[in-house]
Amino acid sequence: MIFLRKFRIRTQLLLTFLVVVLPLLAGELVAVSSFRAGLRDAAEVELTNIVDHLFRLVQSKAEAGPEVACTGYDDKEGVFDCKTRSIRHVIRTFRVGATGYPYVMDSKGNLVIHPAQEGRNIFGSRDSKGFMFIQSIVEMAKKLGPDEVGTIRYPWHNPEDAANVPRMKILKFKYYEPWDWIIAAGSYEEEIFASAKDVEKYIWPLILFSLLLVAVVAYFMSRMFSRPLIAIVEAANRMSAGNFEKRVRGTTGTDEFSTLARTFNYMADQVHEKTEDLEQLVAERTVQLRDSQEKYRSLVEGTVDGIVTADTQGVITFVNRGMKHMLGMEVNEVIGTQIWNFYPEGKEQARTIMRMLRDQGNVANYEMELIGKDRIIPIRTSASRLFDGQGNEIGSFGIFSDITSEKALQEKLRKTQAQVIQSMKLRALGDLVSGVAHEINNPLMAAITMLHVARKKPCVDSCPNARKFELIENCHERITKIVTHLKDFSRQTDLEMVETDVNVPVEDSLLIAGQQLMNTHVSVEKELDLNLPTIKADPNHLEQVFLNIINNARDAMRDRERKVLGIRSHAEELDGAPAVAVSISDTGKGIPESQKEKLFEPFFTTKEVGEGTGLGLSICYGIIVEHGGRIDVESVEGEGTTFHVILPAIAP
Amino acid sequence: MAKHILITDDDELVLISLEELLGSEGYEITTATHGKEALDILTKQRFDLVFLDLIMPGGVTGYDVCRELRKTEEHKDVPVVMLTAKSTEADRKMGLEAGANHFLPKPTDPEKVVELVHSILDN
Repeated sequence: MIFLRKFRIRTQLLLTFLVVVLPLLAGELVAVSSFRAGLRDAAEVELTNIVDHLFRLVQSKAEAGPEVACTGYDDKEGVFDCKTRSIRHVIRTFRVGATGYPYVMDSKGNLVIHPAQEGRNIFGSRDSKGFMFIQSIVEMAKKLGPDEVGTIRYPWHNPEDAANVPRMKILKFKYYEPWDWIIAAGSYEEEIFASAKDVEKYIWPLILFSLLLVAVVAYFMSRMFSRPLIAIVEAANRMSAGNFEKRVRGTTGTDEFSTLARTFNYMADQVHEKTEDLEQLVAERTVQLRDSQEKYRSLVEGTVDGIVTADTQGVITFVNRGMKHMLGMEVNEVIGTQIWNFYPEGKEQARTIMRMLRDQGNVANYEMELIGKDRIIPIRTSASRLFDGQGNEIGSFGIFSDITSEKALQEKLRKTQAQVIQSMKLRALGDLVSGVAHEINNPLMAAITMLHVARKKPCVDSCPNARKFELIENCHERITKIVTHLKDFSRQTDLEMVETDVNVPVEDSLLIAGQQLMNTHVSVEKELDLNLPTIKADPNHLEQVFLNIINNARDAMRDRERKVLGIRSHAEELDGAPAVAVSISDTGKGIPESQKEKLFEPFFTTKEVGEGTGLGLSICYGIIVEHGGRIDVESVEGEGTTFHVILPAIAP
Repeated sequence: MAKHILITDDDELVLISLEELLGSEGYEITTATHGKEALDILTKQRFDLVFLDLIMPGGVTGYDVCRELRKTEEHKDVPVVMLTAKSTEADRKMGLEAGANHFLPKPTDPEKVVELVHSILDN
């Protein structure tokens, strides 16, 4: 039945009808034809019986014994013997069908007994096709067996017939040799089939009518069945094309089609409703999604922070504008590359970060560096792993903040803090020192004065205490020197700032130190830039600073063969602003790295006891810091040291 | 008749030493250990020279004593030498503004002190 599926349902129904009707039709045809055959057989049997019956009659008469034969014919023209007379009567009264009759002829074609033409020779008779059928009958009859009856059919045109058409005749015959009689009985076939013809006359129109009826019924039925189905199919097609307005008609009945149509319409309503709901929902969600996307896009693209996503292999899949700017690269230079290309420590660093991600779930405020196009970028990053909707890990994302300026600020803050701490330390120390100096100065004044009074007493003969007095005086001098230093130290913040050419205090300090430098065979190489911008400074204090450094340089070269003091003033920069610098170099033994940091701490000294207080450089440092400047030290052990005093210039 | 000097200082050692120094030079010395005492003494008699320490206990500083002196008719011209361990430039300025004639830091070479006293009293 599958092959039926190739056809439309209407065709299927028609085919089904044909399959049912055709055998019926065939059966009908078979029945009609067998009815015809039956009729013919019955006719033939009748003819045969008549012939056979007459034959037996003749035979019995002939064998009845010696009976007087009647001669001559019963009627006017013929004379029959007695034997045949009764037979003739019997034969002539027989009728077969409407026009058929039996007759007897001899083997020469003479009609012995015939309803109308007794005595006539018909041997030469021809049928309507010209066949000499009597001759043939005679020949056939002579050959028949004792129980056989011969049969012949021939078309015959009876001249008495109104219809000028030959008709088929059937003739049965048997030969009774003793009398040389051929007993025959014939009839027109159409008379035999007359009843069959009558039936056929109704059968054929009936068949045609029933065929037509079947076709019409099949057509209408197929229409009836297929129409609602087609309507539903069309409605379904419309629905699938998105048209939900039309409904299937014919829902009022109680048959399955109506039920189907109702169910379909209900279903269509439901689908329509649901589809509309769905469409509305989709439209709403689309707007929401677009808004959300736009929000996140502007969030991601608007931030100055860099945002990067990478897949599980560490291949970068997205960078935002902030990241692009931070790296100084184009998006296509970044996407598709391995993320660790941007890590100074490469893959190992990526592993470290991934380990943190796995162990802690995220990385927060992790400080590291990235390799940008033109620079190493200090950054702070927060990173997380990325998952898809099913919870599968699909990579990671990181937010990178450029902390270059923060770092710079931190560094500056650290320095400023250090300076503040240093200056606070110095201030606290200054206060202490000032108090101590004040307290010492009174007894010192008294002691010096007492000694003076005591020494003024004239010695008699010798002065046994003269040496001791001298030593006491030395002590006083040392105490005075220390106290003076301490007072200077405490006084360092009392600055009188005026617009100053830095070369002036440099020259003044050289003037003061000049004699001593000459005495210790130090040669001075002076190189001053006379076009330097001015600075706001206390020249006396600066002179003290330079003098202090020059004295230190001189002391550092005490045991050196080559003694060169370099003093140079030049333009410089301080925190990006114009500044002036005075660089004082020596060819001394240099400062060990370990001592560099302590250099400016109060009371740090490498000199012998009594030679230095350890306050000199800390005082210098304090003074320069108060000026908003800086002292840098460069030293190579065994070669010498250079102090750079850097002071901010007055903005032109 | 010997010139009369008032020396004011809260430090007794300083007082004694200066008394020795200037007494040996033939001057008559009176001492006071704080500002109030100095002012009391000064209301009773005149001096040829006054030494003032700046910071003394009792709330009356050398500046205060000097300013008071300059307000009175008797003492408005008396030479005043300020002698102090607190000898910053600011202190010096303040001292001179308060009416002092000289400002000496502690310690000062005794010979210089004697020279100064001679130069004030013996011309």
